[in-house]
Amino acid sequence: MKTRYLLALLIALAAAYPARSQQVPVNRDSRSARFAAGINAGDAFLFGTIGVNMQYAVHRHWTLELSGKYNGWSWNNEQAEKRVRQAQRSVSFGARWWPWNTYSGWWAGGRAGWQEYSRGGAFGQYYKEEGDAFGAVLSGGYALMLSPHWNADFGLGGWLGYKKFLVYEAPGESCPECGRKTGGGGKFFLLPFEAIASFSYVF
Amino acid sequence: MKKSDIAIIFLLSLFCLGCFSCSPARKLRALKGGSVAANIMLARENDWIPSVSDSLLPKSDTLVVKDFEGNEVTIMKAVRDEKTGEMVASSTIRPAVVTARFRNVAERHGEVTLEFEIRVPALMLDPSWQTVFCPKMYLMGDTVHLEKLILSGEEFRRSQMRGYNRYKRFLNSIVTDSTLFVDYRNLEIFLHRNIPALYAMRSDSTVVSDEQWASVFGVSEKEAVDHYTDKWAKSRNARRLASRDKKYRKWIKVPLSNAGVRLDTVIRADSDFVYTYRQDVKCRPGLRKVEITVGGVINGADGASLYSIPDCSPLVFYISSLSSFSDTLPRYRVKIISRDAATASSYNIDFEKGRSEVQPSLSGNSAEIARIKSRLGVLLTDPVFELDSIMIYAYASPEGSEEHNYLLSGKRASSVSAYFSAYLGSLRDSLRRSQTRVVDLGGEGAEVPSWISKNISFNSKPRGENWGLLCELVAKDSLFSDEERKLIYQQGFTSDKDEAEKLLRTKPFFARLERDIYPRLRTVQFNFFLHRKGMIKDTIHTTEIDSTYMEGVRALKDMDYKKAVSLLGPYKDYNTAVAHLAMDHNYSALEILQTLKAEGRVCYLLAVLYSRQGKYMEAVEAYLRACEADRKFVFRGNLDPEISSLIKRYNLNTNQ
Repeated sequence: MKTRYLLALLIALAAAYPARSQQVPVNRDSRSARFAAGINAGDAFLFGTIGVNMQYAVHRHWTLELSGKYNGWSWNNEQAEKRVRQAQRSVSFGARWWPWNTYSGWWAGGRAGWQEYSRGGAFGQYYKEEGDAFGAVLSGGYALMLSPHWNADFGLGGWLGYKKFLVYEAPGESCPECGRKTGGGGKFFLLPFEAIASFSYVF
Repeated sequence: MKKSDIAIIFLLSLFCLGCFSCSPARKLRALKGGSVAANIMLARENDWIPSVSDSLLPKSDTLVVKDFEGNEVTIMKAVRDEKTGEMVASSTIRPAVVTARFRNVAERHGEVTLEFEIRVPALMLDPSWQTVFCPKMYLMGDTVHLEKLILSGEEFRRSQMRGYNRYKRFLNSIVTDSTLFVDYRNLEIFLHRNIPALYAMRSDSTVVSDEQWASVFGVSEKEAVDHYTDKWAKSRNARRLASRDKKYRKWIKVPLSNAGVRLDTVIRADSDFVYTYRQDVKCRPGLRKVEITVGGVINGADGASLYSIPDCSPLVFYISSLSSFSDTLPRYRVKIISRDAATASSYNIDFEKGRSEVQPSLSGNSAEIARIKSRLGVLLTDPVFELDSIMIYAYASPEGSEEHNYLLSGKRASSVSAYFSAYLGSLRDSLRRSQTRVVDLGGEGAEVPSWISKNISFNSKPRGENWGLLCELVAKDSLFSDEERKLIYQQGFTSDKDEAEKLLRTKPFFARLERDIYPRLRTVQFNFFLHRKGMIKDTIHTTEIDSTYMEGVRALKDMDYKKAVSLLGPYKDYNTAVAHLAMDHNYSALEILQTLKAEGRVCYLLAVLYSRQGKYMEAVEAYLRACEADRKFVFRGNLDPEISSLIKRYNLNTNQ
């Protein structure tokens, strides 16, 4: 029985690549573009977060992607109760799948990421949350070729993961300088992660 | 109710009635109810006299001509007085309504022109209709569909053009250049990024390479082009292309067409329409009658046939042709047959240099000897002629002295003569033997060839050096320059041939001359002398049908007048005159007719001719003379327009 399954598998594999051996030999151009680096303007709308990413093509349909985000700024520091902060440091690594060819057209990607964050004061949030998040980022979008070296990427991404955090009371009259710790722990989350509107240079 | 209201209601009902009475549906009911057909009538007669300008037409209706006894007779238009019963002069022409359904038309130049009027009643016309008339011509059992007459209403034509415009827009949406489906901008960027080597070659026209390139991951240019081609647009375009015929049928229900259409016009439907149809018909031998009828169809704007117009009763045209005047009696010519005959043939029998023996083994000789034997065989077995003697002339090429060559050519002639004399001798012996066997076996009736018992004499003559042929061959040989040819011609005319030959030997072209031309000069010419079997007199005069003349007469009967004139032209007789007359060569015809005996048919043709030339007095005289000689011309005169116009104008033939 095992032999029969093995034989069926071999036939299926042979059928999947029938033309490969008949192809006329061609010169493969080693100077094809493989590396790209970009900056995401979409991140900047989130309180000036700097988001960068780098990709390297390893296959016609696959690129490896390393991206990072940084935000160390806070606003309204002179009034503690009105202070707004969306600080983060994150790194993610993964891959993108391009149905046609790398750096051209539609794509879908997945990355594993870590984020250290500290946020509060924004979106009606009257407490401050700090912590670390781990998870998988799933994203998709479309790469528009602007010129031989420039691309515009548009897409959306969300992430699913687990976070360990601490929650502080929002600064106020009672404690003008720092918030009192009110909670913490760890839990799973599903969140939007990024809105991609990035410009990248294809080397 | 107020008076004004009554007036308004009255006007409205009048308007409605008017609308109803003009509606297409009502018209259609009327057409179907009455099975209305188009009416065709003979067109107004136009007295056609070829080659005569209007200024030559007679100004008065009265002529003074001489009768057969030489007395002057006044001919005028006359009518019978109702009271007295006498014929009285009349200068008024009453208007007449043509009701006849037939007409005589004259064939000229192998053609007849048929003219008739198609009368279309207003009932058959409507702004939303297209009325199509299809005239048909019946001749000698064949039906010929003549060009159509298409009358379109304004609304119909607008709808027709709307359909055309939609179809035009549809055609304009079809992309004919398939490269327009390729997104070249993105393709170029892609190639620049992924196959830069190929991209570099794109702008360099000096690079011609058969190499195939792909990206580092194996994406070829073809795949890239395929990807950046808008497949959806391409397939949509292909679908449009494939549906052209369907769309054409959908939007163009009634196509516009010039083929087979005499008239296609937009017409207002408020009154009757009359069209004068003129059709030239090429005559065929034996064509006497042509019938014309008209049917048709009324189409609605959607292309549907609303009413099929039935064929009307036919108009009949009777054709009269000058070819019927042709004289088909056979014509003979005298043929002189001579007793003696001669035929000559040249052969290239090669001899060894300075030798005179016939050697069949020398190159080409066997084929030439076979040719001579074959020729002899043909002449000896000829059923008409008998071979008497053969004269053989031999020539030599110019190398060596002229005297020697003369003697040599004599020897060669004798040698050839002896060779073929011996051949005939052996042939004769073998035939005699076989003949004897046939007789021994009881083969009675086996004819003995006369030449077996007859001595065919062989004579031979030397002809010396063949300078004439030398010059002829050099003239045809393009390898010789003009100067070389000139020099050789000069030598051909000098009296001292030995010196001439010596001079040629010093020239650089001599080697070619000796190699290519000289061997062809050693020819032998055979002159065969024969006589007609069984003939004693030197010449015999006999008659045979003149086939050329009869072919000309046949062409005349078949109305192929051009051929008839070319064949009969040299004979200058009656038939030639008929052919000329049919071709309108009036002066040539007159020249011949004046030399012929003034019999009836000649007088009639002269009448036609004079009438064409505007000499009406002579025409009437000639016509009356023709009628006097043969009464059939009284009736024939009505068929030829040249004569019938005279008959009408001068009221001839009243006492038929």
